Amino acid sequence: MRYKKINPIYDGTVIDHIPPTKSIQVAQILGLINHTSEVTIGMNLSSKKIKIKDAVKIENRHLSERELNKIGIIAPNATINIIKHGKVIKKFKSKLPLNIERIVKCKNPNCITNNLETHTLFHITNKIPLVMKCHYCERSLENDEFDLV
Amino acid sequence: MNFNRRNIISINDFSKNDIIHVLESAMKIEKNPKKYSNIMNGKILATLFYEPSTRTRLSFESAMCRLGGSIIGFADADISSVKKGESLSDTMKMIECYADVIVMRHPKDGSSRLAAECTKVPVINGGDGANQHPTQTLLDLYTIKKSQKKISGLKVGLLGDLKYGRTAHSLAIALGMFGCKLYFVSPPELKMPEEITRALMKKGIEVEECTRIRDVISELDSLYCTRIQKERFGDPQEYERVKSSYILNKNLLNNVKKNFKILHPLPRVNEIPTEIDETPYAYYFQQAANGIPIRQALLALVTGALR
Repeated sequence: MRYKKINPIYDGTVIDHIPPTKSIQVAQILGLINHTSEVTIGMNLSSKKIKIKDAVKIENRHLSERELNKIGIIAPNATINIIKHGKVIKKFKSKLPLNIERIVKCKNPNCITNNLETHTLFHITNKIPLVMKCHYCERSLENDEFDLV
Repeated sequence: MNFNRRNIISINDFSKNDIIHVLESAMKIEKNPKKYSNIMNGKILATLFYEPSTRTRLSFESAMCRLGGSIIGFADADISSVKKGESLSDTMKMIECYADVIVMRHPKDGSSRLAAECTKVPVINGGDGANQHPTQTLLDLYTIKKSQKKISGLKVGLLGDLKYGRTAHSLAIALGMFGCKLYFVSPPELKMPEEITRALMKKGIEVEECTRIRDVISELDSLYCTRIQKERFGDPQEYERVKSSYILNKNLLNNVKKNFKILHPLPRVNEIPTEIDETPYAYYFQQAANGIPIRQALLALVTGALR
């Protein structure tokens, strides 16, 4: 018998096909700890597409473009489902933007962005594996090496 | 090609054609200095040096004087409003009311790009921390071109601290655009960063890495020396062990090519003994002099005084 691991939501967002173990990070960057409606985090769920996946369901929350960009960095190719009145009204893959502004911190302690109050900006130079270059100090950050602002 | 109002921040912003245009402009000015001696008349250069510099600041100031322009600025941030806590952005906005072009040196990586985004006046990076020093790279290329009559296809060695030396990084990238074969000679601790070597090889540039200059010196057209700093080594004994491998001596020059030339961004400490100054291979003082026409060309191009 197949039983439902996660309850469906009536209105909100479902982020599916998150790489295993990354759902906590997704919840963190979306600040879900402060979300007052129902949040469900599923880890190591079985998936036809990617064998094992994580998923996050958020009741009463629709994501901004900036938040979608953040998800694109942590979980490229995650599936975003927008739910309204219990139905999926929009479904799309998370995408890596070409430029990442005000999301990632530069690892170079001497970078001007770590020394003056200014925003960070990175340019994606390689998608797989993910490599991004700081617009200011020109240092590259590689896969999983980045901290979010 | 239009350089008017363009910022000069990083060699990575330049195409091969951009570089050729700057080198050709410098050559024109150097060949006929009188013709260009007043083209910046009425224009003002602001030199904002947040950390010490001798050659870069003075050569920019000399370049501006030789084009007929005027200079304002500071050579020590302690005597400017920076000491009172003024932000970089505010300083840039204020300076744009006073000057037509800004040259800036700052200890933080990326500061020049940020500064350029805060002002409408073109900014020339005179060195931003350990990141970029594009005018040094352009004068290095100009020196190679003048001494070898070409850049394309040359065999160029880079010797010394290739890990932390910003001039070596930028020069390697620029020489890669001209299809030069590159020899990186350094102690293993101070190797050229993998990211740069990988990027060059991806573009099909031949790169050879080794630890002893004597193994490759006879193949080179030009050798670019950099200083190895003791403080870069965790173990001082390791520094003592390797340092002599990166100090040139006359015996090493016995089998070099006729056209071989030694370059160094200066200041040198002991990596090039003074006995080498007398040989036909020493070219580092001419290299320092080449800073003038290159900086003249850049000042004139970004202010629109030269097309």
